[in-house]
Amino acid sequence: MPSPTETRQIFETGTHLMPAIHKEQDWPYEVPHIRYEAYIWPTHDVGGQPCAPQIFEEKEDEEWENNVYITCEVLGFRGLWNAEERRRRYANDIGMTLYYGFSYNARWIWGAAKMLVDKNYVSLLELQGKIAEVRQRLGVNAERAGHATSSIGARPHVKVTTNTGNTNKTRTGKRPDYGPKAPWDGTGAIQPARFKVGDRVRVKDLPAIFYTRTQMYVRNMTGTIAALTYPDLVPADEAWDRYDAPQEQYYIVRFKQKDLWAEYPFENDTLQSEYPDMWLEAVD
Amino acid sequence: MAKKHKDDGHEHSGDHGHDHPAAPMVDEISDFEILELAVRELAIEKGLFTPEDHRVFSEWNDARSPAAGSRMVAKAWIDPAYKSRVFSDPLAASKEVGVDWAEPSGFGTTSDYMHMTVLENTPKLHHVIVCTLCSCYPRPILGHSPYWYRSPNYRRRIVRWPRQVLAEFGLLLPPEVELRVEDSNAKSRFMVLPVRPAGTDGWSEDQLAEIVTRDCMIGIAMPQPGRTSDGPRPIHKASRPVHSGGRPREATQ
Repeated sequence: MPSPTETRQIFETGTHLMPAIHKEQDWPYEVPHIRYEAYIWPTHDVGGQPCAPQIFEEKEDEEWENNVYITCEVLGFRGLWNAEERRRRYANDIGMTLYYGFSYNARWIWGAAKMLVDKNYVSLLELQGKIAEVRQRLGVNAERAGHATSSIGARPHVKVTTNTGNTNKTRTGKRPDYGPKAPWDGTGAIQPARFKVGDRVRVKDLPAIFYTRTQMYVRNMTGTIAALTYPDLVPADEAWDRYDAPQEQYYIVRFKQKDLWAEYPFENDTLQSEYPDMWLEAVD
Repeated sequence: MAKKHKDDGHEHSGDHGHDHPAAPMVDEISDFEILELAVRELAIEKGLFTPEDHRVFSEWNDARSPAAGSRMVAKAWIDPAYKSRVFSDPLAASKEVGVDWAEPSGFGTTSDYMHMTVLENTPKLHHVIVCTLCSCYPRPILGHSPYWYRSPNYRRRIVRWPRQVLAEFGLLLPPEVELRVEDSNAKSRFMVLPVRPAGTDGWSEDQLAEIVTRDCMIGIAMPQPGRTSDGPRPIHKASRPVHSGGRPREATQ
């Protein structure tokens, strides 16, 4: 008789089975247009994809996951990459198999390692050598009781409440001077804003090749400018470190849900999202 | 050193004979833990960043929690002048509850930027936030996002079937209330200012802050007297957790 745990595993495995007839040819001679668009669509853009409900869990961070976050952020404020480039690398450039096969934090550090090699900060041989060295030092898959220690000293972590209420633990201590400007700040000229609050605009449908922050579900859809936010680089430039490119006004655009989804049943519901000037065109 | 029993998520329900007895195993080091150490050590050896940079960011990270957001909401409920600053200058209003969005670098963090917007709920309008493209979230003021917020499931469905998803979290909205989804896809970061619930007249800021939980500021729950924690929801425990801010914790009561 299976245990309760095994019963749950059997149930879930059955749910996940995907019977298929495999008749595809590897490297097909022709790729129809619809399939091309589906293949190249940036993997991270999932809004509106039909999908069954799932139990929403609270997951605790593993210590290594927390370290991944810190390392990736430090690489950012030291100017090695910016968040747009990071998202391009860890969410899209890795392809769908790794996007869904790896965990959230795994993708971040995979992207960081790939970035260091791609931009020639370290050679692939150096990375391979370092991975081997760390494995050796930690005795991977060998008996061990503690957690991985690195060769880098760290001060003890501070415990703070994660619940609501008062806390004074919101400030950091002394730090080096990182200068007045973020390394991801644009240096190019700021273009004048073309739209004002209340204007009707349509979102363009530019080719989805390589990367986008303009979701599939808003493309060709018409909405209303709800707010002007800030001028900044457009994602297509920032994701490739083109800091001297022109900077554009960003806008919060408000859509009627019934316009976005034909079957949407509630008249008054709305959705807002944010776009730079070049992605919008005036609607007469 | 005693061997540890690896906690692989199985229920070890005593000796009633159904589950296999847990085999004595040792913790395995994730391949990604190794990759993180490799990246960090190479970056330091090459002078790309310093151990001090890592320490500075780690301290900032440890001090994140939804408590600052709760405080902001409670203050806004009590003080109309503060509430107007919450909308007109959210970064200044954040400073008043101890959060400087410019920290820890002087120009903000790599992921959070310095463009905060507070979304005001009313009896006729309810906001819920999501990032369908990744996991954008106002970390400086709310701490780390919950993992379900980052999951493809939430991101896929909340923009198209938002009322159904809210119902799964236990929040049923009347049809006449406008539900507004804020898909945080660029550099603005959003926090929901919920409606102050009935039955809280004369409450102190501390009392009010207690009922403003993280989920109320994401927009998947509403504050109520007596409701001081989120859920109930299953917790996936870490095998080697980090003890710092913004992480889920089982309610103590």
